[in-house]
Amino acid sequence: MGKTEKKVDLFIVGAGVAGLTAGLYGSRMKLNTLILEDELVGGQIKNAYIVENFPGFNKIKGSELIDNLEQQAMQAGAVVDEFDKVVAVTLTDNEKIVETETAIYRPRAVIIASGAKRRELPAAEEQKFRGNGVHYCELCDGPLYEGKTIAVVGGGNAAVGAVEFLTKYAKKIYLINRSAKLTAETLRQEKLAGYANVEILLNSVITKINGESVVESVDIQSIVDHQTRVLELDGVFVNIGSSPRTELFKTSIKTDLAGYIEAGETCETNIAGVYAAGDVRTKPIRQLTTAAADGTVAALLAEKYILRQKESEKMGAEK
Amino acid sequence: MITVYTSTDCPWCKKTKDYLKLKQAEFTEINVETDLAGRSELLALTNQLNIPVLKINDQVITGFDREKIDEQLAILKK
Repeated sequence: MGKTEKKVDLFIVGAGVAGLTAGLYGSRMKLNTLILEDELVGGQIKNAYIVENFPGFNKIKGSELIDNLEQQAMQAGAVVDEFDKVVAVTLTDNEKIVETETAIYRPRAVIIASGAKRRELPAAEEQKFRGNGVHYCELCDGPLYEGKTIAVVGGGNAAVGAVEFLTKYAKKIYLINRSAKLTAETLRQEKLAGYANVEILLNSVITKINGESVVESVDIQSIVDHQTRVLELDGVFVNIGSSPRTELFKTSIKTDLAGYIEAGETCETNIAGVYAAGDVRTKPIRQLTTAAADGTVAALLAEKYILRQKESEKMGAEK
Repeated sequence: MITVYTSTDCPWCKKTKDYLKLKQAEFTEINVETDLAGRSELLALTNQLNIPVLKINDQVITGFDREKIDEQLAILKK
């Protein structure tokens, strides 16, 4: 049986903060709007235990912030589908086709807000221990490390946030960071000093993961003097940044060498009617607030594009 | 009979439960964060510290894997 053909005004790929904000604005402009997400609605922020830098909220759980935003977008009329997946796209100035596992969409405009995926730990044993000592979702698997010794790898807000969450469970946490400084917000770094069971290891990388069937220790190397030592622990939670989810779009849309979609403050890509919003876009600062700003700009400019298209179709029909 | 092993704040667990509800599949949830017997059961089942885990038709599915869930739901409905 062939796939159903469906028409929407605005097709948004990704339901992170950028995608949901675009959906909210698009729907409020009375565009027939679909937001499709094949991973988590909310994207990476859904994994954040506490968010303290979103204006208007002193502290809010990442999941709560996203639930509010999703509800707001849906109340405005957006449809959020988190159980389908884009499998192919044709994006040109004159034609936009998005094929998912279940349907073929012919939207008038497309906003790519597919976000980024977490980078994997660059250790040869990562695959062997993934899910059994090497983890990428502290909110999921963290509670299973009650009373254990673990490491969090990374130095940004996500890594420090993971440490804060995991202190509820773990007996001892090593925060292992490749650089000489953490890049997390200063306030968050200061808070870390208050945890007696957290030890920060700077200028350090994990070079090997040891164990039979579960993680028993890691080899940790100093990038200053190259000395290696063994750190006994039960699990490793990885937060070493992310890379853009743009594989599907690279044949149509211009990306930079790292895979980010080339688009400026207007979020316009090299294809008319296709916009990039949030972490997938080339930009110097990637924050929740800048993702929300991108979603706003992309949706409002998409609406103008669609109106121009409709106007030109109307004039064509009248001739 | 479907069993879903979860923890309280786990976003993938919520997505898994939402999918089962969408498919109108009844399930029993065991929160291994609070249910220590359930945690031992999970470890005996998978020997892994990774959730969500689903047990459907005596098959164990680790993580949210829509394709595998659909396969098992189809068998369950026969």
